[in-house]
Amino acid sequence: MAITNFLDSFDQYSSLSHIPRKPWTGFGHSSNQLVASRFGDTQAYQWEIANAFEADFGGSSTPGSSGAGAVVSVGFSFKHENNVSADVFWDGVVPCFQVRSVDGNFALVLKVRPDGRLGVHVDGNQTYLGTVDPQYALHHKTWYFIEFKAELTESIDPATPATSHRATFEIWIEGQMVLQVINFDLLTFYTGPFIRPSRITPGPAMSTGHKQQYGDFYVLAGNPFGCAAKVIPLYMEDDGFRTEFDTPGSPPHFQEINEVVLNTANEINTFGQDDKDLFIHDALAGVTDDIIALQYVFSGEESLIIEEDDTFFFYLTVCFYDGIIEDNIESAFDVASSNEYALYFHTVSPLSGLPFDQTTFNAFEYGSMFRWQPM
Amino acid sequence: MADDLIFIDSFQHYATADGYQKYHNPRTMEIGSGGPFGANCLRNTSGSGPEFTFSENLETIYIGMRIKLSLSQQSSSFIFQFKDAGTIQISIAIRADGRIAIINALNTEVAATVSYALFLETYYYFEAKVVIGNSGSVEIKVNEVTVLSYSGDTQQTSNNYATHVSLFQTLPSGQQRFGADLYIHKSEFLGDIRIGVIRPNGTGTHTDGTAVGAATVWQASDDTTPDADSTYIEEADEADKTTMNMEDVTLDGDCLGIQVLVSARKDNANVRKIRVLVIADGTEDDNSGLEHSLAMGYIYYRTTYSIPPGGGTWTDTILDGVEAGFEVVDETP
Repeated sequence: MAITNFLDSFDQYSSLSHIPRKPWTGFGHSSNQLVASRFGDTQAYQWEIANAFEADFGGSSTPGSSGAGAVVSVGFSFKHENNVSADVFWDGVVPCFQVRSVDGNFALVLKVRPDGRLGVHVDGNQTYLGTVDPQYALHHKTWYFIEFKAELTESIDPATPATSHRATFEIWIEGQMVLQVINFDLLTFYTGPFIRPSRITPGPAMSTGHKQQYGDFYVLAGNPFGCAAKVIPLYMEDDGFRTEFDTPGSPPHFQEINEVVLNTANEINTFGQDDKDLFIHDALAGVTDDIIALQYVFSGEESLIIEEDDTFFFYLTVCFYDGIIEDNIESAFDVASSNEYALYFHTVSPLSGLPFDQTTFNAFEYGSMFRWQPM
Repeated sequence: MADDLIFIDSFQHYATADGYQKYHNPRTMEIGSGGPFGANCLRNTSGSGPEFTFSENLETIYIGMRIKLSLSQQSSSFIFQFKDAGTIQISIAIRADGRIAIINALNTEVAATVSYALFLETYYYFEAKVVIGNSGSVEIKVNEVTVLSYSGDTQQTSNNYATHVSLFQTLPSGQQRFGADLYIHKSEFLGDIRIGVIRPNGTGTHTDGTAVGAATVWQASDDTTPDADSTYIEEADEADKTTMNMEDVTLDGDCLGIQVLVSARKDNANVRKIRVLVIADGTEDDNSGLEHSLAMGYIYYRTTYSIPPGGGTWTDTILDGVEAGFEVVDETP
């Protein structure tokens, strides 16, 4: 199962309880909180203690057999925040990111060292596999955009075919690659079963006195973008090319679903096979840099009860319209019995295959198509 | 080209809240009154002073700072601690009896002065040369006189270097500590020195930047302490350069070096880089190869010169003509 590509600006949450609706599997300690982001206009997430905040991206439950590598890159804005025990702050080595194996027993850990430098080691062994040069040491109370690529492969050494693994990893700060380690032999540090990156665990270890803030999050099954990115939310601004769903009241369709935070009180609904609703989104303005990735987020809930035969499969697909062409993707998003976010991640226009710029993106409509079929 | 003069700090051009701009970990450092010449200084009245990460791993470190201990102390007061990541390699402290001590990573005193003790409430110029190694050494000078030498193990980790230095680690109960005129050097003692601050006072050779919140670029950047987004210079385009003439100075002795500081940030996502510019005695140094990729928050980006970029020595005339500034190196991936 491929790693899920994923963006998070942390703006769609008004409380910690909303966070698991995305791929995150938990929100950690109750002291964690949403705080102002590095741009001051959006939200970021602050880990105070606990490392229980994880995203589980599936991964293979079967040990790999092909020897093929698996690559995951994560990018995030990051700040070490002060607290009352600042005089001991950074006196310990603080993990800020981990890429874990499917069984959780192996982790490649990205840490902020006490000297402000980022370093990488294997969980359970404090020997650094690599550390960035001193000139790139992070300053306290300052936002940085950090990217971390990890590639884990089986050893090609026939003497240790099943127990040796190699790691390739990169660290980028503000769009600049500051560390690259290629094919590091992990045999000294890990002799367990095949490893494959499948989970990420941001946040400090379980100890007091540390606060870390994260925002502008991306996870990508592939090489890092090599950027200093900003992840921003856009909402539905108007009805689009199709309005085939129903609204309980009479407002325009978009007003039912342009919620900053998921609101189960407002909705559009349908039972019509292939019904579509398309929407015009907030327009980007003043964007001259690249639009490198997009994620369409929607939420669906199955609220239908069919008395005679309750064995139908209800699902949504994502559909698009660029002013000329209309299409939808084949992937189905299952409609569960409670609201959960569904995500559609892409880096280029699904219609043209070309990168978006501000003009082409502003003319692009996203929406959903409802389908059902007997199970 | 990297200079052996790594860092200097007068503690007179920024406020307590700006400490993170200059030190990777300011901890509970304070900037306030009480300096040796009537100016502000580094104060430590709780917790610990700042930690400074070197720009490279250093086996040999020369460090000097004017220090004063106030009020009584009940235990050893750590002045400098040299660390490899989170591990102490070697420490230099003032004992409760005023004697100077060298303390290893196991908190064992390995050497101390016998007949030399510092008085409270008095500023001393305190210097140390530290060589990290299993066969390392420490030499300590006070007011330019060697008062303690030690040869032995100064290395706790597997690395014969320090990554950073902690100033005023863990304040002893009841004490206050003051510091001024800090230098860190790779190759020599500088002696009892003073560090002053000169600010922009005129337009320079390059004028691509736009003043925001002030009439001129130099007025936007001559702040007594950083004023964040109140007044600043804006440069948007690659290869834009701004340099400013700096205040004149009258030397009372030799000038052993200068440090140019540019407090800068970017204002949006994507990569933005700058280089520090210096013009002295007709020679412009653009610090090619020393690009700084800007963060979202203000950070001091620095460059040091033990001698002018064109060679020779720093003189009143050369210093009076110095221009400092920055160039935008804009890279978009």
